[in-house]
Amino acid sequence: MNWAFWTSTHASALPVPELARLWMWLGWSVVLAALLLAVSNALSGRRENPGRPAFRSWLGTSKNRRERFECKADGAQRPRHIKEIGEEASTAQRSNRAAQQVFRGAWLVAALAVLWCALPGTLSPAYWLGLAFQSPSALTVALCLLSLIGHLTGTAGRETTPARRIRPHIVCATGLGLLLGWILLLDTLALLPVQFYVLGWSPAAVAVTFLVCTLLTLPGWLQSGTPMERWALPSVLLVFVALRLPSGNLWDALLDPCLWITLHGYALRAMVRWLRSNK
Amino acid sequence: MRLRDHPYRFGLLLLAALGLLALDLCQRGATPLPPQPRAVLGKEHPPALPLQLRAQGHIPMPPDAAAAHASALLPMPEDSPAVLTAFWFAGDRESAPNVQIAAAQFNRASQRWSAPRYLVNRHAVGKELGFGLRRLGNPVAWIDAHKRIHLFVVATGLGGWSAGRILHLRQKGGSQALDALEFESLGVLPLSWLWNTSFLVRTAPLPLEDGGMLLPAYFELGIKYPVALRFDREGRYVTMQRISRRGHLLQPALLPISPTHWLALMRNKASEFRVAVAQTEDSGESWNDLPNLALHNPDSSIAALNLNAGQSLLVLNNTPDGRHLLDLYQSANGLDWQLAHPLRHGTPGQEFSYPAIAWANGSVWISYTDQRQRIAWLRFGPEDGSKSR
Repeated sequence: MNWAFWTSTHASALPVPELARLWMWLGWSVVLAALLLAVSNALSGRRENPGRPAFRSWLGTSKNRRERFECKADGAQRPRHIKEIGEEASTAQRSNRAAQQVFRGAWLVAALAVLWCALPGTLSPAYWLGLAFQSPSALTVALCLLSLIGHLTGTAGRETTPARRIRPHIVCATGLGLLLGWILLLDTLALLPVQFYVLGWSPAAVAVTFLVCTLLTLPGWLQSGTPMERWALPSVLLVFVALRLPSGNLWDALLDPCLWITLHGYALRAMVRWLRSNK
Repeated sequence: MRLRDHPYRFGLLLLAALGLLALDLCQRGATPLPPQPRAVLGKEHPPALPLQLRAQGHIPMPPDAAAAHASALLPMPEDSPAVLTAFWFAGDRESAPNVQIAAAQFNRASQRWSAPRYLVNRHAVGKELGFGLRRLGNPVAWIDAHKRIHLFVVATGLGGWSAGRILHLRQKGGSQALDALEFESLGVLPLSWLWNTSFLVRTAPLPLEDGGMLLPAYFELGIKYPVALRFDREGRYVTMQRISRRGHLLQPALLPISPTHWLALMRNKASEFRVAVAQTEDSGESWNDLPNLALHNPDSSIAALNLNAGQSLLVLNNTPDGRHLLDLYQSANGLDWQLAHPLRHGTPGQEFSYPAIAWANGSVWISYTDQRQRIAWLRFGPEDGSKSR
């Protein structure tokens, strides 16, 4: 075993500059679209929750009408002939129409966010977000993208209920994210005896991270978990290995300070809910 | 649902992870050899000391620039019409929105400085990068193995000077004549997890035998610590190594004493205001702090150059307070320094600071900030009748 190779902190592969620029634009577009959708949903107070957690229904590719978003309404499937013979629309059908309006609104908000980011220079929010925060991490983009897809296909709103669905692998992932962020912060301020950020260039860190991510993803695949549980970490590793985004350093792909701060809020909320539910 | 119920899912996931890991390992090259500093003089003989002042003056400033600061000197290749190129930042004042990176070249034939030219503009670079840069400053230049000029510039993000990042630019096109010199932005160096913020450059790189270099840099947000960034012969970032464990040192100037024994002389923000020093005896693999030098350092940038074994030069403000005295010192071991030549002695309140030093065309060249308004320069050569020793 060549330990010098495994622990080498040399940045042997960096992202292509053009790709890094594209990532900054695309990454902030996705993050902004997801945030705008979350805000608009919170403001409107409407959350679509149309049915089973089937991955195919995200993409709208299911041939089974029962799995299609537009055919669902609060879990009730009314016979189509009712409408055809001229009867008044049922509660389920009215609800279905409302869900379709939310669905179209979600697409509109997402498209507007992407177009806004595509504006040139200082008109684009990506220009200013990049100035302040550089690129979002691959995990932030993956989580936002999965959330966005969930909103656009009407399958969102199931995975963000920590009090109701606390699962050990989610707790582990959150805890590891918080720990990693604290270590990286202390390392940035040179308060650790060894350099940690540069280990993000080492093959050893990549190997260990792959192992941990596999273990954290496994329950999601075995138990038909949410798309976020199944796809977030694998997509981060794929983006990192194939394109080295966003910076070439593994830690930058896994976690950024914004996500780390959000994780604190998530953990706090989950803890409060858990404490309340155990009273 | 247990693991044994879905062995194929587990197997597929494991295979995918191993495949990705193998792909990652395939992209990694061989670990580079330990760095070895390149001799500044090359095949030239070392100059006889003490050096004599041969010429001095001011570098022409851009007409609209009220302020100039933080110059850097880049010795040009021997086939270039210019002896060296000076870079500095100029604008209304330090950290002003209109600050740009300016440059001028000392012509080999006419022995005069060219008219200055702005080379880096934050708006143009921001457009190229796709994100904004609030301010520019502290240019540092280097020539790679393909004779391309690389420029490292502090570019601030959200916040003040401490929120700076190191912007990496590379010469575009083949010509190094000032009027044709253009740079392309390669991006900011990935040095920190915290929004990649607060790493800055100021002092000159240390060229390496393999064609690469070590770029001294420092972290400045609250705690201040120096680092050395390694680049390969193509100008690609390789790695970073912390130089000191103390939290109040910045702007390290690297001084190779032997191929493996180097010193880092540093600006000191602690209350005692003496030049701080750290050393490595294994080519930068590990560093340890040494006691401060006897020389004063009023929280001011310094510049050092090793001409040859036993011949090191240092330019600094050797005063406990203020930057009105600027002197050239020489040393045989890098730790004990003697005054070689007074450079500028003004009155308290005046400022002659941020020196740069380089060896080019058989002479030692020094530049410094004169009253934050202009960049002054001096050229030192061997004594008459003893051109070289």
